[in-house]
Amino acid sequence: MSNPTGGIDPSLGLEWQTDRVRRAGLRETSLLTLNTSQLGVGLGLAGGILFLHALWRFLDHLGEFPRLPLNLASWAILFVTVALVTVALRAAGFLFSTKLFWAMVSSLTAAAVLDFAAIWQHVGDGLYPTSAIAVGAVLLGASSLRPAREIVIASAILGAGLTLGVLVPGPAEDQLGPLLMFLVLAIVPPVIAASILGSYRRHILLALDRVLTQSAIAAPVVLTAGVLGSAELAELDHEVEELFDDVATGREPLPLTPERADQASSLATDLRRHLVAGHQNTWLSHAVSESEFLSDHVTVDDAKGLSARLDQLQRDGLLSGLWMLMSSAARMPATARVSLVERKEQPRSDVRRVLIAIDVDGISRSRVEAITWASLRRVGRYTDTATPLGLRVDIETEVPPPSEQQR
Amino acid sequence: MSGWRGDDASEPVRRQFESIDRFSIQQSRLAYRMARSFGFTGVLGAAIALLIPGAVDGAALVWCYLTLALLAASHVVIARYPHGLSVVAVYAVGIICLATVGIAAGPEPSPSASAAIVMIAGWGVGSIGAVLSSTWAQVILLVYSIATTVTIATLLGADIGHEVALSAPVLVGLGWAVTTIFGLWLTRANPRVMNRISSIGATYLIERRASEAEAQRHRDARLLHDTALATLTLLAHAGRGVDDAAMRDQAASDRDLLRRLREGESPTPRSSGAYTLTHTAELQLSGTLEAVKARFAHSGLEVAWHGSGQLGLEQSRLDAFILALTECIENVRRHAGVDEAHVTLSDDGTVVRGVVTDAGIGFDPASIAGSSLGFQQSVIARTQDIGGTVRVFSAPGAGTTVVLEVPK
Repeated sequence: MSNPTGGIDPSLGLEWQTDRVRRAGLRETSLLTLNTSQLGVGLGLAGGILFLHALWRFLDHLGEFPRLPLNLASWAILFVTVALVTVALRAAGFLFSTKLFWAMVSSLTAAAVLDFAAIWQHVGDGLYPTSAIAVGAVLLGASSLRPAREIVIASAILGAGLTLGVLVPGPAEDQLGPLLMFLVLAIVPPVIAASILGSYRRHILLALDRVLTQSAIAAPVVLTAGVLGSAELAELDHEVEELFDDVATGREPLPLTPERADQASSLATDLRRHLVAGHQNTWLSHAVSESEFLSDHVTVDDAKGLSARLDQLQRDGLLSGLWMLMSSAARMPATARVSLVERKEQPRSDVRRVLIAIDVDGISRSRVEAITWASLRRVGRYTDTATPLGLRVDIETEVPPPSEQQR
Repeated sequence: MSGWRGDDASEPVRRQFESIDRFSIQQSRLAYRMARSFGFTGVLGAAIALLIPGAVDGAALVWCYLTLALLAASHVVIARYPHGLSVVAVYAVGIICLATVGIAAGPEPSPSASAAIVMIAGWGVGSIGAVLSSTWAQVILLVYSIATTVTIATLLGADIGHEVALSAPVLVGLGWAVTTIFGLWLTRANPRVMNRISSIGATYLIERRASEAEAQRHRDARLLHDTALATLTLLAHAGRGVDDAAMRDQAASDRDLLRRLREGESPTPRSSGAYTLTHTAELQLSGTLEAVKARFAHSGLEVAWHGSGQLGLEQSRLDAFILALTECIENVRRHAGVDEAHVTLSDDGTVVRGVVTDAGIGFDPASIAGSSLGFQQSVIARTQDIGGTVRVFSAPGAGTTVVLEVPK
């Protein structure tokens, strides 16, 4: 069962964010509690209610079961499983390992099988499966700790088993309706929980990615190294310092070994690259390359660094618009290309007209949320056209000429 | 460091909240989609249960299915238009559906018909429990809906067994409880998660500025990096050709500078070890150097000058020195197979030194000694004429460094 006090979801895919958040000076635990403190509580509670209801029905008929030891064994297995899993989860810091999960599922299967054996061909007497239904409640409680897919698979196994267990003994027509209802009560909540959790996790990751990426728009007008480049330069300097230290203190014999000489040579190359080429990228490239969500699907073509001349409102609009365009195609493999060029004829001398073209392949205009257009409007006047593969947005905007650029 | 545009820190944070609002909307849509899932399940379950022989008669079944279809349609509406009116629509259609099925099933419904009624009341209508827990008005509507559906199911006699656990009120209440708890969980979790995300975002923004400022500080330490690069270049050739003690002194001095940089200082050294450090811009001959750079840029070779010191040579020797350097660069262009060469100049008061480095294909100096007349004449002879020496460090695949030294 899940536990309200916390739990780490290995499936949430927060690993890739961990690095950036660690750089933000946060402890990993605070990132992990993002999902843990709240996710399990409600589901565990709902599972608990369903579990108690099944137990209640069992206790109601305690004297009528023809093979009571089997029922008792089934419930005993269920209780022991829940207790052991809870203890194991606590010990493991609420990391639900794959092994433990499938061990739990097989143990639950055993409980369900015993329950069916206990009432085999006695359903007509007004006896219905009890612990077999409670198995679904246990799955529901565990659903926040495992990937949605696995919960669905386990529910499908349980569902197939329950259906067979119900239909094979050939129950009276009168009993079919209630049996169906119990089936639904056991299978559906875990499946719905799993599917909602899947969307919920995706939303959290997107929100986090969005918020972290958003910080790039506050970059200064000059070209910067970005967060990744900044950290690399500092690390590089430190490595060089260590090499010099080894040489200075005589730990390293002179002349150097070929390996160390190679290291010095590659350090020099990297350092030059950083010092000379580190200024090449604008905030837009940084934002895109730092975003897990955008980096693989968006290419930026901005050879003249025009995006750096956009003011912060325009930057925000461009990044938000791009982000929402891509997220409206979240289920499809959409790709986008952003290119910025200066217009050839410049009607005024005090501003420069810049054309921004966003080509997105793999989305349709009808899927784009209205708020996207509001964002793009902040950048400048835009027109959107349908292309054979998707959508093209052309934005014409005005930026100050380079000479007036605030540094 | 350059100034930040829009130094008002609250700005980006405020926009983060805007973008978070959008996610809150998405999350609330998720709750409505969840309501639809439960609703469909209830409708589908009831439809199957009504098909079981003995539940309802043939003609009445058509009416039941009609209202069930209407109920399913209202669930499509609720997911598409997440709005209070849609919720009311689901409730109204659900009550009609309950009444129709109740009339069709007769005064004493069979267990299958009872199961159908319970599923309609518990999830067909009860699905709206998932979206009725954010405001007090909604909670009142929730309580009202639960009370009415439970009452209707009870009045219809939809008890499955004689025991309490299988009575209509308990089963319908169970359905409502599950959907309501699911909804509560989603609405309660959302603001807290979003708060945390935005605080992570704000922290990250601060950290980002700090780390970029830090990178800027590192990058601003140009002179320091020039000497570090020169020393690294010597080390890349294993430190051969340089006196061991001098090499170690140089490394120690550069290490100290890097350490000071790392510990937060911005050292602006005038000298490091054997090198005197000055900005290239201060060089008297910067014009000459720019001209050389431009010349090679035309033929596709990028020349990076790493300036160190005014070169204290009289004009004639200086010209020869620069010419020799230029010939070295020309060799890089012709033979090295790279588009970049680095030249580091220094003057330590007794010796003027020029180091030309490339990361090209390299060669074995032993194999070429004496045979390459061009290099011999253009560089070595020219340097020796002004009393200097030439040292070549290279190996196949490891790039080439040529050091020209002219005593003053």
